[in-house]
Amino acid sequence: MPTLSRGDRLLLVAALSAFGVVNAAYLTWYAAASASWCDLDAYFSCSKVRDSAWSAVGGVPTATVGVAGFAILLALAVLALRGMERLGPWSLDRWLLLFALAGAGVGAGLTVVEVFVIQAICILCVFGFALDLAILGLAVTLPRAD
Amino acid sequence: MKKCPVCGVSVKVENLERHVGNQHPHATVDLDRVLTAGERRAARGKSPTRPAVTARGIAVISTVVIVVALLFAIAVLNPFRGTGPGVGQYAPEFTVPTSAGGEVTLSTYRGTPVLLEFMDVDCGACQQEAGVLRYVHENYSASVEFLSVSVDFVGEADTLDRIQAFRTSHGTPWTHALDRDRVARNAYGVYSTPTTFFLDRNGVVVHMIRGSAPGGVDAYGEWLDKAIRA
Repeated sequence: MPTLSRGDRLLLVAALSAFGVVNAAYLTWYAAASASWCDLDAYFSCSKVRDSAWSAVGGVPTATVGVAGFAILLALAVLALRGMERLGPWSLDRWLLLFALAGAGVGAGLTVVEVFVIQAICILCVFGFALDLAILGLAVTLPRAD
Repeated sequence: MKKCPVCGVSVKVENLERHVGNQHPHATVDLDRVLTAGERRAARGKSPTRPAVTARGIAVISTVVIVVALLFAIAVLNPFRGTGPGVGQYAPEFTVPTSAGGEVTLSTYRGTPVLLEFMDVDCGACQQEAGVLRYVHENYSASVEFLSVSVDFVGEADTLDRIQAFRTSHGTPWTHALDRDRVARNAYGVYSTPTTFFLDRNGVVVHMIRGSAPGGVDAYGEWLDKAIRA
């Protein structure tokens, strides 16, 4: 996206992160709900993923980790939009890239687990993974943006 | 221009404080000795520099936000699923294999009200609801036919054997069946389990509940009474 300024990219990261928070929060609530309505069929089934052993790590729902991750990305993007350039030892660009990489890595891992282990796809989880990838793409190009 | 007290590079006065912070974060520099109070005030007035958001950027971001919001809404609301029969409409006909052997056809229940539950052996809400329905069945089995049909949504694939094991372990003696070809599920627009239809003696839908009945046994009783009176 050569035509977007650094500010544009940061605002886009903030917007996508906000969607990520909403999506992950919905999945967190969904994980606690007793019904199952995010199911298209036996393969595209949020419930099948939710009911698997992979829906929580150490008792913490995976979606809750997603809420925290996207909230951190949102906070970093907002700080950068407000003019902050550094946070601790690193620039905010580097922090954004780090958390975007972590999010995309976790998302890729969960998608592999869904396809090959659970053998079911949670569309809302894939939606979150797509947001992760988009944010990663923007974070990679941030240092080169004007 | 001022020379950086750490590296000696010439830097604009207004950028010096930021330069020292960014390039030499671990250096201890007393900027009061390098810059006058007026220069520092002027520098602070110009920083931090907020990255500019362009009009083109706003347009692109607005488009992206709308598209993502639409995709999210579609994923959550799923408007492409079937709707199924509404209250006052005839319940669609289907024939499905039962866990006890043989088949069951809905229309064979014509003349008697029916509680038709779409469930899944691995659905936690269905397992909880089985206990409620067992109690309801004890009170209404003389006047209402009960039929549970697995639509195999979640967990391990439901088979007739698994359904029969569920029936035995939960003490639910009525007919249980498997919608193997998704005929009933599509006809009734079932997209969550449990989904329960209350049919009157003519096969007309009196009420439908998605998920666990909010009022438990009392809710089932209320709607079964209406199905019996209809």
